[in-house]
Amino acid sequence: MYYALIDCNNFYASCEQVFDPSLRNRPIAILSNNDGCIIARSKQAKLLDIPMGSPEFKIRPIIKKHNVAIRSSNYALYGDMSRRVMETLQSCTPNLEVYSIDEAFAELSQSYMDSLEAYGQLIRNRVMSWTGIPVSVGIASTKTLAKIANETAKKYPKLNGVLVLDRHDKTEKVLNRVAVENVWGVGRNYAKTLRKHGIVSALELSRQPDSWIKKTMKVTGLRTVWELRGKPCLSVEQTVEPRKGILSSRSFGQPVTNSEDLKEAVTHFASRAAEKLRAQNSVANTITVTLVADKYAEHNGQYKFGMSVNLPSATADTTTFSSVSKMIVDELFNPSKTYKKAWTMLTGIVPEREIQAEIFSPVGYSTRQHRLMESMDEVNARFGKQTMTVAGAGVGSDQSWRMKQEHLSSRYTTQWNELMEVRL
Amino acid sequence: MLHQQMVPEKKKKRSLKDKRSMETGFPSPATDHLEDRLNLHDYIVHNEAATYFCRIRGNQDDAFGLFDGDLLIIDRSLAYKHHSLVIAMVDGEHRVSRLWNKGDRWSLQFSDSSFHHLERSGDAEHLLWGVISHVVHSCL
Repeated sequence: MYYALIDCNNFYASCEQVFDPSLRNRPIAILSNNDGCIIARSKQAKLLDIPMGSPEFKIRPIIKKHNVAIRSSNYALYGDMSRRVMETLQSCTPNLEVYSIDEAFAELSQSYMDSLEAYGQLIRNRVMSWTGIPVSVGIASTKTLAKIANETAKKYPKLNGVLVLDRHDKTEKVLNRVAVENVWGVGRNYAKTLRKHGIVSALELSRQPDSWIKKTMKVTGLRTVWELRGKPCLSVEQTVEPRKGILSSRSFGQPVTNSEDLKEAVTHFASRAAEKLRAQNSVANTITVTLVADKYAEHNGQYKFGMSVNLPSATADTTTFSSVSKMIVDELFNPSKTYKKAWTMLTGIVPEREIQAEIFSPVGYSTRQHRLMESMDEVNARFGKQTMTVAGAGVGSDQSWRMKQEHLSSRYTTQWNELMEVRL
Repeated sequence: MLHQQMVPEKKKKRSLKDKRSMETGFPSPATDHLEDRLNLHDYIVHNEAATYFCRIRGNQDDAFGLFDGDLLIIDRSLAYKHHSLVIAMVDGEHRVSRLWNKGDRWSLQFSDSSFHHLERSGDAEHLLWGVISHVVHSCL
């Protein structure tokens, strides 16, 4: 049995490059939500040593000098492109575990055994052709080794994006070049301990006796070491557990000082969270609203103010969540503070079919409410997000708490009026 | 160089959403024969993951029968062939062009009838964005 890890190269930047020809071969830096700091870079930006996590203004000289393109994060686009990449992978292999927005593990069946390298190239070419996104493929007998193979394939252009670790000597040669802290599952603290004991490379780690590993790195560490030795301990997981808590949060585009704006914001977050809740056919019985004030303006240290409310019965009703969030804002709001961020969290989540029938409860999730919510979701799915929403969430450009996205590209694949344009 | 992998097209047949009869009096004799209404998307999109929509900008007389504002359907999983209508990247922009092939020579023809020869085999992969499979033109 072999595992493949397929990982998109510079995913966010690559998505931007597919649709905008002016970005080809150019350094690109992608900013976090609210245009805060740099969270992703194109290959060319990495070569310029543009640091991750740095705020945009700090690298302005480099931006000017090297004509670096700046983009706000366009999650509508990245999300759809991710879906396309994963669907393409699914056409190559039936056992796929989507690990994150830009990586997936695949379990390769016996039939590919003689031609793993060719199979890796097939995956790479097909994803490139169907989506325009370059990927790297690492194939090995365990997930941990597949991850290492993938990173090595990315690092050495000569490998053409695919590395198969199918022979012992080849695996050892690669492991010798990988530092312990770059092994999947070895945290920074363990890496420090290992280095103290003179264990620097992944190969050295794989050669430590089990008893010592178990003593220093617990069972999970032992699992990692076994995986390095080629003994699989992690399998491909295809099912996703329903979420235990659903969070909707944002930093405000500009600081908010009045309670009406705050209410609009939390109502909006509550609607988004409720939508996510309904998408997984669940209901929740607790809602928490947290307001975050300006950390540096608070002299006594406290700058997060939150409150939870237990609902009389579990629901997925947007109107209930939004009116409760508004009540909480009334309770927490302090006119002397400046707020920078807020979030709404739903907990106590259970599948809708498990609601206990509370016939006499006045606020339960009735069939009528369920139908109303269903229609609302349907309208929004068909005509775009927030076509229909509760009135408290506010409308139009008046929403000053909204995200700052000054460098946003088009949502080329999800909005009719933002399609890519081609010249005749 | 221009041969891309094709997968057998798989198409999900959507099930009939609601087969219950709505009549309050006599049940309709058509109930058991009710079929899904035709859906244009099914007709045009054969590979969802590889299909993209884009918009034409610019006017040119007799240019491949295309007009400003037309909607193009691009299926990136289709192989490039002689006479395919494609989107290509030229001089930093995406343009509609006709692909010409003779032996191992490939060229692009633009709406103004000018040609651009693809030099190396690597060129094609870098410059071609996808094959145009359909055009939606509004008559209003």
